[in-house]
Amino acid sequence: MRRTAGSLSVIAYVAMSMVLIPIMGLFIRVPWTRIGDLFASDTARTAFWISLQTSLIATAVCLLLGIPLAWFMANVSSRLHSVLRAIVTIPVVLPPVVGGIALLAAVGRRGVFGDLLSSIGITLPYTRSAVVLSQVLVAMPFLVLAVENHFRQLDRGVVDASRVMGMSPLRSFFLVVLPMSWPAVVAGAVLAWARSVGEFGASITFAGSLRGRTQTLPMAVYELLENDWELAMGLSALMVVFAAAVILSLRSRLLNTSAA
Amino acid sequence: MSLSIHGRVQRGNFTLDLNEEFHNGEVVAVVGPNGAGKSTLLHLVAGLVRLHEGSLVVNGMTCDAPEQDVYVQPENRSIGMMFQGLHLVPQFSSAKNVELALQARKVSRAQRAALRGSLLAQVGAGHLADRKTAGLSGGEAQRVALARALAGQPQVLLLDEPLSAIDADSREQLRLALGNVLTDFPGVVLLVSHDPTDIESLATRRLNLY
Amino acid sequence: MAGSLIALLAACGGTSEESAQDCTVSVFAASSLSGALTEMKLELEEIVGCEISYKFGSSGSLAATVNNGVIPDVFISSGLNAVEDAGFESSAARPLVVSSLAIITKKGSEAGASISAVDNLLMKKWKFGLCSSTAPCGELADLVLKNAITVYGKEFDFSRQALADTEATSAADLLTKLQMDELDVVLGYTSSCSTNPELSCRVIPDLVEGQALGEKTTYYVIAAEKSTDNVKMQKYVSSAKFADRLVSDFGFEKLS
Repeated sequence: MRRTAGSLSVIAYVAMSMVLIPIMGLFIRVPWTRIGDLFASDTARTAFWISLQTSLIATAVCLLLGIPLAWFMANVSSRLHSVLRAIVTIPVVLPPVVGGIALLAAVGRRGVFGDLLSSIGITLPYTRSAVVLSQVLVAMPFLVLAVENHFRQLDRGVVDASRVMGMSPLRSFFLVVLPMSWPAVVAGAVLAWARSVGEFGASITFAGSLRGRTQTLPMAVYELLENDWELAMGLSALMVVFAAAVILSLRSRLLNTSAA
Repeated sequence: MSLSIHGRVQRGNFTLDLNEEFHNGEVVAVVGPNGAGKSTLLHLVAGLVRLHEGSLVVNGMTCDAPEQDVYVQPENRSIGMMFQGLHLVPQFSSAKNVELALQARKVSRAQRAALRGSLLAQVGAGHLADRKTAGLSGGEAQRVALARALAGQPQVLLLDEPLSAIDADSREQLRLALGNVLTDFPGVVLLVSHDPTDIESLATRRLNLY
Repeated sequence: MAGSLIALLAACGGTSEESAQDCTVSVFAASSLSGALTEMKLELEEIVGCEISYKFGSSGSLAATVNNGVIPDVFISSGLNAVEDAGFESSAARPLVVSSLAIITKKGSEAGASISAVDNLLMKKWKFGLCSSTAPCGELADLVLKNAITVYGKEFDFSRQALADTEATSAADLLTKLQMDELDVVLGYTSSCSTNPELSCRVIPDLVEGQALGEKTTYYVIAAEKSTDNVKMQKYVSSAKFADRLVSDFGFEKLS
């Protein structure tokens, strides 16, 4: 192991504690005797399934839309690239609630496109699709930026070679570029999924919260906090466990990104 | 005649004027100082660079003629190219790299399996089939790149410094293997090299760019 | 629901020629009182002689805040549950005023014209919001919906899942969405309409065809430890004058 300067190590420990201490505190205060109540709780179970479903769909949408966007961004002129990158980064900087308000302003009933959508029979607010849409809005930048970063570093010569050997741009994207980018895509997808699961501000503003229809885990925790904080803590702890399990199981894949 | 170029490539301050005709069976050594446009010429034939004016005709098919608004995409030309940087896919095995070229030319799955083996064997890289190209030495990778360039039976073969990454000892071996391949190659070969021995032993003709 | 008011008042220190702003009295109140209390702020500050700081929120979140160590001078909640959750002695809390659940729509809206009774909520075309079951206004809504089945018939589905489009932990959230036109109708408190001219309230009648339908909530006020600053506030808040003011000007109802 290489030696790190002592002072830097101390700071590293402090940084680590800032992450670990709240999590440890949570696990210590959780009333584990009531775990049974948590699993029996209809609110918790329903919210879990809604979160799982919406976050997975949102991640899939992010992948379908984000990967082509990332490739497009990686191949345009540097001026257009800066503009696109700035636009894509906006949801990251915005407070999520603002994202929700923006969604209402755009596709809410009185939104800019509200009437257009109503005329074809679509109302978005208060639906599960609205939850997915909110999650896509906040999560897509993470996927796009991660994958685009990788695409930009990709050896363009390999793409040229694949064209000369007979592949159209589309075929070379699927047969060469994507397989070469697999670790970055997985890492981006995990980031997007994690952000989707944790999404709260935008979705509660735009999609509302109704148990069984739109109430996700974070919304359930929020509601439980006001009347059964012990259950809220238990649910929070379970979310941490679940998230850790997913990240650890993908750990080897994530580490491979540096080798790719 | 199999490959005819009459025109000009222009890129900023760089200009390359060409008036050449090449015939099937010729192995043309493209020589000249650095910056003269040797790689550019190869990229032009491949379709990665376009003519500013003039025409490029391969086996009767006009591939590039700006004044007539004609431009055939690289994937629709029948070119095999070995790049200076090789540009193999590092995560794939040698066999898979060669197979990609066959897949690109719509060769069936069954035939691909057989062909990739024989192509690698032809360049003396049969034993490297399952090894990831990222882990290969310079010389080994160049053999795989050559096999890939030959896949799909191209009409024109473009070789950009095909022996540069090999140490002197193995060079003679690969030069012989390359010589055999080129003798059997029916189309035009454009070969860029700085090495006089390569040019002596492989080329049938010289093209000086200055 | 009868009861009397308790309020403890503190005389604020300082001479009268000072603006007497060097003391602060903190009031935690259910958000349904926010309209009334905000309008009364200046006159209250004059009576009390101190600056008043408000914290409005759902009764549950206010209780949670108290539990985390932030103790107000006066605590007014909807229903007794929050009082107990906050760790106060429920016997020390005094009922203040009463409020009924109402069907709230935007004045002049189509929804306002069409929805006059609870059974009109069955119409799917309206976006309907109500408080979540764990909030006092939500418990009330649940009772109303339950009563609706007895009044209108079992064949109608008055369940939350079927009727509602969204829930919130406080009626204030719902009213915001109503004003943004993202909701058409909301079950909230009658008092909201007195302070907001854009809203139109239809009180849910106590009885429909002889059967109980409407429900009411009682607001309870409780004071924290007496201090020199808050005694005057606590005394006023417990007086009949305060309750009467809420009833006459802000749409609340007298204790029966």
